[in-house]
This record gives sequence, C-alpha cells and structure tokens, in this order.
Amino acid sequence: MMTIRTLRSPQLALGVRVCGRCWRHDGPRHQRADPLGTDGARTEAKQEVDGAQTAARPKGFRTKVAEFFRPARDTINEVRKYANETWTFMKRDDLEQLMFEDSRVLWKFRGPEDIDQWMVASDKEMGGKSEAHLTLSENNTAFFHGVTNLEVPKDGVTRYSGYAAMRSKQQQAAFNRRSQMDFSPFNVLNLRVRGDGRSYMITMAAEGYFSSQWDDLWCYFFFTRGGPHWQDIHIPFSKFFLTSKGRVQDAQCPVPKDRINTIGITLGDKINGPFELEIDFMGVTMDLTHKEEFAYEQYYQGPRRKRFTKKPLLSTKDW
Amino acid sequence: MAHFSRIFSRPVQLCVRTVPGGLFQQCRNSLCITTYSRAVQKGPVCPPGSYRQVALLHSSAQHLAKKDTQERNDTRALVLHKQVFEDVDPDVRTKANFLKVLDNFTKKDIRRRGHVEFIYAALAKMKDFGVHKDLEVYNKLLDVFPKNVFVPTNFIQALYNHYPRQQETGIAILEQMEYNGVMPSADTADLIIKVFGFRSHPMKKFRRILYWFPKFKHINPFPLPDPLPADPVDLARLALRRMADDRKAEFKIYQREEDETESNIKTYVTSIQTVEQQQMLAEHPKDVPVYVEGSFRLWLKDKQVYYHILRSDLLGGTKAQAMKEREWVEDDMTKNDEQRRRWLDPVAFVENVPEGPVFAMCITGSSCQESLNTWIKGLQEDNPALKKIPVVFKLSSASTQLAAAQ
Repeated sequence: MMTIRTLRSPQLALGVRVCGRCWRHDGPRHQRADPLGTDGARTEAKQEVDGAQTAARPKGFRTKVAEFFRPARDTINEVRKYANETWTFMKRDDLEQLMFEDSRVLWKFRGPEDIDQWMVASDKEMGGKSEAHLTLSENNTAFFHGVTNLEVPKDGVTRYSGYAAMRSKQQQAAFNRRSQMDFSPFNVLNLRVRGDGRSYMITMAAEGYFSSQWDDLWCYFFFTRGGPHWQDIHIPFSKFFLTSKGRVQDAQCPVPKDRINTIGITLGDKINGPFELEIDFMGVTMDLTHKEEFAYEQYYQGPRRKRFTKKPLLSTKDW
Repeated sequence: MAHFSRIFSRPVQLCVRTVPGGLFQQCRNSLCITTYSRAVQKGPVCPPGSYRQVALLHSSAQHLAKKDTQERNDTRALVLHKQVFEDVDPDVRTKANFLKVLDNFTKKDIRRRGHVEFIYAALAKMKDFGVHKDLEVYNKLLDVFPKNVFVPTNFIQALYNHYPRQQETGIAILEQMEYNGVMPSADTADLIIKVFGFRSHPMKKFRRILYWFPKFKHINPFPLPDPLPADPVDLARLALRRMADDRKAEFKIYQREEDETESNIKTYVTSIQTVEQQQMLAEHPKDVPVYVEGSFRLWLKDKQVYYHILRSDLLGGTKAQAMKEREWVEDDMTKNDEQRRRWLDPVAFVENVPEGPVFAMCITGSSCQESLNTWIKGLQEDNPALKKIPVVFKLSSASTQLAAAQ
C-alpha cells in the first residue's frame, strides 16, 4: 500500500506538506485553511509566523543549499523513522505488557498538548450554523463546548443539520503512513466525563482497504447525567454498530479492534442550544465478566438462498 | 400548437417528470396542475420536450399559482399543494384540520393525481400542525397513495426499480417518522404492502426501523417522562434527583411560588442533599469558606434548567478524601492486594481530578441572589454547622461562562 501511494505522489515519500485531510491530494494548494474548524486563533498565529519567515528573510546561499538538500534530508528522516519502527516492532520488549496488560489510558487530558491531539468539526463545514470548540477547562481537563443549531443550510441538497464533533487526529508513521491503534487485548472503552444532560455518541473509524470502507464508522451512544459529579462510562466494543455516511448499515460486523484509526465524540441530538462536555480521560480495559462478542444479529439478510442440502437416505419419517 | 394540445392532455405527467434536479428540489418545487387554465396557452412557443420549454412553462405556472392566491374564486386556476396547507389559518393548525386537508385531497380524485407532490408538501408542513410525532397522521399520509398500482406484478418489474419516484416518497414518509422517533405500527406495514408490495424499498426501510428502534429504545440510563411535566417544581425535582445520583438524597422545597416572603419575590426554591454531603458539611472546618456557584445548565430533553451548587475548595489534607469518592467495597481478598484490585476495576486507578466536595444543589425559579439566600437559610436549618461557616457567592450566568471559556 505504501509503495503504491509513494509511486503516485513522490512528495508523500519525501514528507513534503500534503493535504491535511488525506493522502490522496499532493501539494499544499489543496490544503484549505483550517479544514476542520480547529481553533482559528492558533491557526492564524501559525500563518503569521510562516509568513514572517518566508517574506522577511531574503533567500541567501545557505537557504538555497538547505532547500536543495531538503528532499534528501526529509527522506533520510523518514527512513530513520521507519527503521526505528521496524526495530521496535522486532525486538518486542513490550511483550509482557501485551500479554498481561489489563488497561490502557489512551488520552488523559491534563494540558494543551493533549488537546492538540484532537480536532473539532461541526456542520459549519457544509454551511450550517453550529459551533464547536475544544479547550482546556479550569480543572485542566478537556472542555468540549459550543452551540448546535438545527437550521438547515439553504443549498437545496442538505436535509438535516446540527452536529458537533471532536475527533482524535490520525496518527502518522514513517513515510506518511497512517498508523493504527490496536485494542485487541481489551473489550471495553472507558470514559470519565461531566456533561450537561445531553446524549452524545462515541465513534471509531477503522482502517479499511477499499474505498467503500473509508467512511465506515462504528458508533455507540452515551448519556450524560449532568450536574457537578463526574461520571464513569463503560462501553463494550461489542455494542458498537457499523454506520457509513451517517446511515446504519444492514450488514453489521464487530469493530475491528486491531486497526482503529481515530476515536471521536459526536453530538447530534436534534436540540437547538449550547452544550458543554468535560472529559477527564479516555481509555480501554479488559472486562473478563463481559462475554458478549457482538450485540447485533449477523445472519444473512439478502434474498433467500437455495439450499443444496442432500436429502437424507432414510429420514425419520420413513421409520 | 400541436404539441401544446399534447401537453394539456396529460398535464400532471408534464409537471411530475420534468422538474429538473434531485429529490429535494422536486419536493420544494412541488407544483400540481389540477385544472389547466387558458392562460397557460399564452406561454412562449418552444420545441416540445426541451428544457427551455419546461422551465418557462414552470415559471408561468408558478406565476399563475401566485395569481391564484389573489383570486381564490377561480377554481380552474393552478394551485400549489403547499398553498393548501398554508391557507389554513395559523391559529387553527391542528391535527383535525391537517387530516381534513388530507381527506379533501383523497376524496377529490380517485386516481390521486399529483399525490407525490402533495405528500412532500404535507411532510414539510407537519411540524407546523404539530403532528410530526403522530403515528396516525403518518398512516393517513401513506393512505394517500393509490393502492395496488405500484405493486410489481411480474419479475421484470420486481427486478427493476418499479415506480421509483413513488417509492422514494414512501421512504421519505418513513424517514420523517424515523427522524421524529415514531415507531411504525402493523397498520403502517399493511398500508405499505397494499401500496408497494412486500418486496419494495419502503418495506425494507420499514423493517430496518423495526429492527433498530427497539435496540436503542431503553439504553438511556437516565430516562425522563414523555412529555416532561409542565410544573417547574416537578421539573426541578427530576433534574435534582438525576444530578444527585443517590436514591436516599433528600429533595426539599424551601419556597413555593405562592408563598409570601419578606423579599417579596415570587419564585420557587428547591434543593437536594445526600446524607454523605450533610456529614461532609458538618465536618467542614469553620474558618474555610464555602461557595455558592452557578448558574450551570442542565438539559432535560429539549428543556434547559439552571442549577447552583454549594461547594468548597479542595483542602490540603482532604485530597485522599476526594479520591475516596469512588471508593468501593473492600473485602478480605482485595484489602492488601493492589494487583487484584487493579484487575477488578482498572479505571479506578486513573486518579481523580482534584476537586473540592459538593455539599448541596439547588434549582430556583429566578436564579437570583434573593432566592439563593432563601436556599442557604433553609440549608442552615438542616445543617447547623453551616451557620458558622462563611458563605461566598460566586455567581455568573451559564452563557457568560461559556463566553469566557471561548
């Protein structure tokens, strides 16, 4: 997979800036400003810094040399990263952890660097009027807040509106490959939140090979109690159901725990108004008392198939 | 003018088939030609079937519809289906009148000419009439379809998408039911089978709803009555009981709206406190202030209530106490065995956010300082220790807090 992508666009292999949302576009011109509505202030500040660097400094000899060697340097960096990855994978010094670990904290929100691993989206992307922000609260936890607005954009196509979502950023490995999280030793997703009484949804996106799988999202709901007390939420992976582009699918399958790309929290409960959700941590655990593998039926749902069963030579009726 | 005579011989089809654009656009431009008017003949001459002709005719028809609203008496003019619903006075937009409009349509024409546009117009107007959560009305809407016409009768019809536009409309009805959380009934199934047959897309949608709705019907661990109580004190009781997370928590009404008070503010003051919170307040050092904080927002379905809390800062020595908030039953097996405890409840070992204790919560009608004073006075009667502890008010509205966070 990696080689195919690399052949298609050499920039990818060299680690040159690519589109922030996907590996299919190459070159910075596809990069929309603030594509997923992350906090505007930070992006603007960044742009200013970039602009200052490019505009103020005239191109001297040293810069030119550095630019000349940049592709090579970047490639070497990527190779080094790849070698590191391979070496870590091969030496397997986390074997004990893999075998005996019973819980793993994925994100513990304690500072701005934890918030930076997440991005925020709302229906503003498609012309809606909802707002969503992810900031650090007074208690040093993640504070997901904003306003949902059900007003449908008047583009003649959109029929529903009013959602806000936060999603963990895609983790990258060497050569701009997406790296996945492996939750196979666990069976429960844990959250500690303090909400406002509205109902939210946890979404998990898994790596899929075919383009039809890129929009696959495994979802389940969680309900907040509201009030000043923290609330522990345990959602077994077996409860997650498969959706694609916002539609629940007929053919269900359990979430592939070994290749999770991103985890997100979505709000879309058809209510106009502000929301606040404080998140302390998010983790996965192994609950040995939970035996369920998948909560939804998986029998064949298509048209009736002809059964080629042999008629028994001597049935009980003949006796 | 030969082509015009052809058009007028089947005006409905012209209208239904030729509106360009997707499903939504067609729905918005839902236009029906019930009777044709002579004025249409004045339209510009274009080659038949061309896009331009259609567009022009369309606009002229819209123009006519507008004109028709001015001259209601002309029964032969064109009418927008949307108009039929909009003609109903906003004061009397009720279920009965909605059903009357449906009845008028079904009785007018046995062939139900223009029913697709009519149904889309009806779906769009359901919320105005307050019937968007009414199963009976949805069934009546499905009843508008002519029966047995769209049921495939041979394998070729069954193989291909038979009457796709009508099936789409059927799905649109079911989708609106789904969006509003209306569980279809056996009557709905009977109607769908009569209209589209069993092996049809609306039936498939129906079965999907039937599969998924019951799966998620009872997953909310904090259920609320439907509809929510209209009395604000009952609503406050629901909200406080939900937030307190303790069955033994004591709910108290310190003031009712009809009570006479010296501050002369007509409002209600409700409070909740658990036994543990009472104990904590009794053990609270007398020289450390407690804070009244708020207001904070709580959503009960689509209603919001505002609450205040009585809390204190985390004291140096009580950090362990805060950790004990989610203490569990320690038995002999787990007492000295951290490994085993960890195995039993791994999440317990992510340390808590260090926060001070909450002593009580309240909901008042006005969220004003006077009502909170009443609350504190009431609390002082139940917790004598509070009389000696200084109380500091830190008040801000929920919206300003949100603005500050942004």
